[in-house]
Amino acid sequence: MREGGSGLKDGGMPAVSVAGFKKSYGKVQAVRGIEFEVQKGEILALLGPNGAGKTSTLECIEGLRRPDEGTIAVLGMDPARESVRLARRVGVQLQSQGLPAAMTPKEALEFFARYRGMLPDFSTVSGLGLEGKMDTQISSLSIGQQRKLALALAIQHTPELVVLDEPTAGLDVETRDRLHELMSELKKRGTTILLATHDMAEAEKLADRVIVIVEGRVAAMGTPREITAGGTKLTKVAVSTRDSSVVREQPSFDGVSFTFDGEYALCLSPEPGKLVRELLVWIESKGDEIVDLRVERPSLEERFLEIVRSR
Amino acid sequence: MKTYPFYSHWVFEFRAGLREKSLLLMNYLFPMIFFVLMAALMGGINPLFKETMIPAMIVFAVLCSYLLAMPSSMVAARESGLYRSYRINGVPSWAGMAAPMLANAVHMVFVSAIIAIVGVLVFDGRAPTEWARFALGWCCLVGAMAGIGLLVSVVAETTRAATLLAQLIYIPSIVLGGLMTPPDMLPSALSRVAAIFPATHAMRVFRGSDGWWVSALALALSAVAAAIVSLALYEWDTKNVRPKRRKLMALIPILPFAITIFIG
Repeated sequence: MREGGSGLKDGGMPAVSVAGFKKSYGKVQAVRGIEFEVQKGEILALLGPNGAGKTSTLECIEGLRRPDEGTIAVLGMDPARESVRLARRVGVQLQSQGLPAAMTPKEALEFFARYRGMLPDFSTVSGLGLEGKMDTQISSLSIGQQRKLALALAIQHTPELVVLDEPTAGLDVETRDRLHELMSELKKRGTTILLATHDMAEAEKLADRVIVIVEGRVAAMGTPREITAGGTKLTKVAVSTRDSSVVREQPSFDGVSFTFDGEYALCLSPEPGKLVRELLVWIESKGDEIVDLRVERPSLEERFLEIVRSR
Repeated sequence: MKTYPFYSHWVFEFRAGLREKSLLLMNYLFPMIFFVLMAALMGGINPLFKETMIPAMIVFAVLCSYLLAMPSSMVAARESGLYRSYRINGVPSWAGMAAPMLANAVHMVFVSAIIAIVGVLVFDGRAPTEWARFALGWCCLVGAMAGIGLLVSVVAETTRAATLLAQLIYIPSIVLGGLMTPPDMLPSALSRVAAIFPATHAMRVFRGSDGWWVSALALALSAVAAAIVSLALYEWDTKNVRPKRRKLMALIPILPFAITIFIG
């Protein structure tokens, strides 16, 4: 793959800018006023339950639909009006992407590369495990293979911005892992990635920032760490010692008491650092030794569910 | 760097017409089988049929290609999200429409040539005498039918609707268009109705009937109008709904034919 898109062509302008965006389908209000920006070189994940407005937002960013209200700018251009120009600088993988059934992947890569005024880059396929399928008609490829091809089409022209709508849905674990590596590689090369996903672990692992959309509005925005820190969920601390001193004596620290599961003492704490320090001192004072200590902050998934349920 | 994207698009659409069974059936097999049956049966029953057999079967083949094959194929492509892929990958809307139309035109060149050669050599059909008029008629017919087929593709929201709309034009064109029977055998009211259909005008040009150039002009104008209206009504996917009133624009390409009713 060639070097990635430069993120510096338009100065400090964000890669994507969405302001006052609203979209309805008949009487159904899919998006009720969303504002956000995607900075160049970052990976931003859009999260939300089904029907939250993620795909509507992405489709307007991709130029497939027009906003009813508000403005959307992609690399400084209106995607609804300048889709052909933007196609050279943006790569898109749709949630359900029709590809010409009678084409082979090789022909598809050539076909779309020519419309972008470039020669095809077959090397994009090699990282996705489609090498052996280049001359098979698309209609004979599995859904997963078709998704890989759609991804290869989205990145073969080394775009500045890549928009991915649930890129790993329906993919096997190995391919998903490969895809995550590919996204990290794209980011290192300066490519901006806007990603809609239902996979919280994926968002937590890859995204610099996360936006949670619920019922057509932004419910939370920030880094995965900021999002998880913002809830009422407490950090879980689990400890197991050689002599089971904690289990036997059941100490309490600043009102935090333990529950017990076999050899483990468990508790939920708003200040896990302080608790662990006090716990270590207490265990040492008892002449005991730690066998296992785990500190688990709330996952993005737990926090996501909390946000969605609170609405 | 010149990459000639539209050329490769057109070549792909042409190949797809050979690879996809439904297109192959409607572009080649169905019209050819119908031609052989009609030539064998009608040629024996009605010797006059041999006079117009070749143009009539060419008109039939073009109707099959542009009304039975192309619209449902294009609407199915739109339903499958293919045009969305075109949009995000920088394929202009005109190219998405023009490529299948032109690919079908090439298929029709082959089919027309086969009909003309086999018609003359095997079924004793009358060969065209004025080749320039014949070629003009062929181009006008293909242009008009491609335009109408395209309009059906653009207006119909589902493949089922596309098939129904296409049949509304296809069946009367076969029955009233002068393909099987001479147009002067039709009652005057029906011959006025027949003038709305492009097949009638194409047969007038092929026959060299009085005022055939008016029919050629109507076909050409209808083709241009259909192309413009199709571009105006084109949508990337079925969810982008146009107001129903705007779809009435699709009737504009009929106007040139309707006018010929009044100027005789």
